[in-house]
Amino acid sequence: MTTAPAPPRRSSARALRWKLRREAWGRTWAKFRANRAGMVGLAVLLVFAVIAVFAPLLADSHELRVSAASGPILAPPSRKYPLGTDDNGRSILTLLIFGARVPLLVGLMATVISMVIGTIVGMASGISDGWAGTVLFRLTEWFIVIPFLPLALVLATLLGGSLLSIIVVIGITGWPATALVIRAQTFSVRERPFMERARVLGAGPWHLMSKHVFPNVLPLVFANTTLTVAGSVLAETTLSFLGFGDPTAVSWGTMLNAAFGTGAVSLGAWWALLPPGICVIVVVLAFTMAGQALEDIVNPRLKEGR
Amino acid sequence: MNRIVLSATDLHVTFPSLHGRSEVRAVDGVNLEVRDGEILALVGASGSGKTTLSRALLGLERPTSGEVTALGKRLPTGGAALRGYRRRVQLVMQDPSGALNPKHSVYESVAEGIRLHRLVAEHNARGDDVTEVDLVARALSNAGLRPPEQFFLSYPHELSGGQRQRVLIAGALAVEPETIIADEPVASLDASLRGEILSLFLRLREQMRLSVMVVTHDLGLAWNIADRVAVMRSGRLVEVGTTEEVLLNPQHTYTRELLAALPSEQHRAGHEGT
Amino acid sequence: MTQLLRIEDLRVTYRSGRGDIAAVRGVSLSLDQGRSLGIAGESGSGKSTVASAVLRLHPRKAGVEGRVEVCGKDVNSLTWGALRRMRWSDAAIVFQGAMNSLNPVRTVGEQIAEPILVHRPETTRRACDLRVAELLDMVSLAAEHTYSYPHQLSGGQKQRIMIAMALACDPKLLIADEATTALDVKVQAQILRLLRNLAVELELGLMMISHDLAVLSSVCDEVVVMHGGRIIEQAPGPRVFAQAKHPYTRALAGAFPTIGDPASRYRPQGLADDPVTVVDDVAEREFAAQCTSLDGDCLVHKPEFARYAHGLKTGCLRAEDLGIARTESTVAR
Repeated sequence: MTTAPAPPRRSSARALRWKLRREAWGRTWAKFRANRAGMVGLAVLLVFAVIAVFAPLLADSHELRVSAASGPILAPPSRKYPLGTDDNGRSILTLLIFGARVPLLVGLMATVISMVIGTIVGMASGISDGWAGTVLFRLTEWFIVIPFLPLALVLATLLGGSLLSIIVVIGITGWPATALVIRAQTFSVRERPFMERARVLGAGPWHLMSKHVFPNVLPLVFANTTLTVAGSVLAETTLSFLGFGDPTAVSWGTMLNAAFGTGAVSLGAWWALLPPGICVIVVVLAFTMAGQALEDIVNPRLKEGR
Repeated sequence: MNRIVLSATDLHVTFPSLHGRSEVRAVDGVNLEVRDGEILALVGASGSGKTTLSRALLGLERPTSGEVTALGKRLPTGGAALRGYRRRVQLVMQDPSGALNPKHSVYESVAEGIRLHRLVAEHNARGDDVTEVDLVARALSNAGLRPPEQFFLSYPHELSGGQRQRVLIAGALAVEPETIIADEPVASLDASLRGEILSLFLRLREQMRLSVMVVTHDLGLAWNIADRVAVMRSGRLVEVGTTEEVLLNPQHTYTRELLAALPSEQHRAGHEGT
Repeated sequence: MTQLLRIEDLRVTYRSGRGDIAAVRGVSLSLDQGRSLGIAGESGSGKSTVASAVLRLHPRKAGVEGRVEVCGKDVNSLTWGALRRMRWSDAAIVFQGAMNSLNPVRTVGEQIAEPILVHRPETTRRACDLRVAELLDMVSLAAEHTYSYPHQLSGGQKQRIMIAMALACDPKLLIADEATTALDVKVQAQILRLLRNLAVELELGLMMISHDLAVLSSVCDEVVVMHGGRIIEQAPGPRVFAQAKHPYTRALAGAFPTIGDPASRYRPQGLADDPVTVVDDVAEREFAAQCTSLDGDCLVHKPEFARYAHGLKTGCLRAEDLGIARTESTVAR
């Protein structure tokens, strides 16, 4: 079967694959960079990530302790307390800096759980024609019609108010939307001619899933992840605000909760409410903008329709 | 040219009809053989069952009755045996843009079959010192993409229609099959490119003794490359014979109708005055 | 004989994110009543753009230069109202796969009647029904098909309905853009015969656009071959195959072998590489490199589009060497 001379340059298959992968990432990054909203979102997220990670360097964690608080109670912004103080006399700025850690951590961890469940369930229900696919799809639908908040509250009560339980609660309530998106994409990939070609080449179901369905579903998973993080951050804030969060951890949600509980609203203490509220909105918006940009890249047709 | 590489014996493929009342006999008692090193054209109009027949020969459609054999052995229905069969009979699909995974580079698409069948290990066991890259490069250049390295990192959307079709052919050649079933291999290509792809099939037959079954509605294509022609209508073969016999001296009325329907330039006998 | 269509130095440029694409680069054509003109070409040749320019169907963003006259009216300066009137009653078009654009929940009769009622609102119900029956008869369909729904018809029958719809308002010019491409050979032959007969009976001007040179050659009085947005050859329909001089036309012709011709047995013919789709000077030079009988001279001295004996016009430098007498020069770019 040898009719052609061996290629002059012997490069290994692995090196080639890495080169391809690097190029693919490079192309995606180039497209992302061209999207202004996406870049703004990404920049904002980076700022918040740096704040969350380096919080102990930016502020003194001692100030978080109620017993160590030295400032006046619910004082308006001043030189010493640039964003005022809370009802325990702690600096709002310090709380805000440390409060960034929980929402981001919970948001990311919960999203990982949602994505893994959503992708597996979505792909499995998309690829299986039998009862397994039907059962999974019904399960997805069932989770989608149950309103998020009551379910999350019940679960949070059952699991108790630790950080881990909040992550689990948000994670296992957030996957159905992803599963539906992935299922639809799996369906469309399944009917593409290259699936048949792979079958003729001798591919089994596992090869088809991992080499053909998954790579074509993956970009959607990524785009969806960013959007889901936004939802998860919001969910964490909601649960903390309602008092279902970890009472020992500072987060924007517990700050809002405390401000509400002590009547900051009626006292006109806007500095206790606005900063955490604005931070939540900005982070959620940033995730949405970055996610939207990613979605435009992986699914350009959506953009044209918009 | 005597050995039979692929054959169908009294093959039936039946589908339940859309309304569930009756059944559709897509393939209705077909006997057909593909011989070693020949190019056979399976000709028919759309709905004649020619695509279903080719899918059954590839093991993609399970026959209702009758059997498919490759080199005397019955077509396996699954498992490792079916995978072994896949190595021997390959498919080149009609639409090259849809048949290549857009996420895979040319290299990955061609290497897919090589990895699935662990061909590098097989070659090495035989004492050939080859790498995967060698095999991919060889398949690409056999399909007329030269120099092959230049195409390794291209993605399907960066290629022209003719190049994509060659990548598909290279992917099929990479598993070193004995028979290739090509379903309308040039129907979605521009006409001026047709010749090159068809010449490629002739060359592959010449150099590798590959047997080719071309599924097509195009009688001109059959005249261009086929040794034998099988004409199919409503799930049955109405006429099988050498290309000259069938196209120049058709016996069945349906074949005559097909020939008469060709534009006058392609069929002098069917020329009508305006 | 009246001139139905006149195109003079048409240039169409599509604007895209990656710069402008010149789809048509200086095409001149004319078509008289009762005559048929075929435009052959492949994807990217600009043939469909020419068709849409006749009815001004191209995207609004496209830049159009040159003159297009249909029945004496300058299409590019018509108001939208006048253009709409022109579109059914002066010129009508049948697209490839147009049969899939039939509305599945309305009867065929209602759909044929629609253009009549839109363009001639004064038509009575009775007159309209009669006209629909007449049109069905014209396209050789039984009158009871008025009450059929599209799914009850075969592909060929649906294409006949599309032709009936196009003829509803008595157009003088009928454009068929790949109208038989998706059909089987036998059905294709029937539709082609129908189009040819209609053109003769109704004294239509018929403009057929196809990638299939054999089809055009068997139906049309005159065939032009387009490549890279230009007409590279023009010949009387029945002579295209025999007389084609331009290497591209010859490659195209080679794709449709004459069955029984020993020259094409085991010898499929064609170009060595893909035809050029994005057109610029570089692409043109690449095409010349594929040309087997030219040495690239034609790019250095842009070949003149000249008229030769037997009604052939070609942009091939070697035409004279290839043994036909040149009669006069024409300017076509």
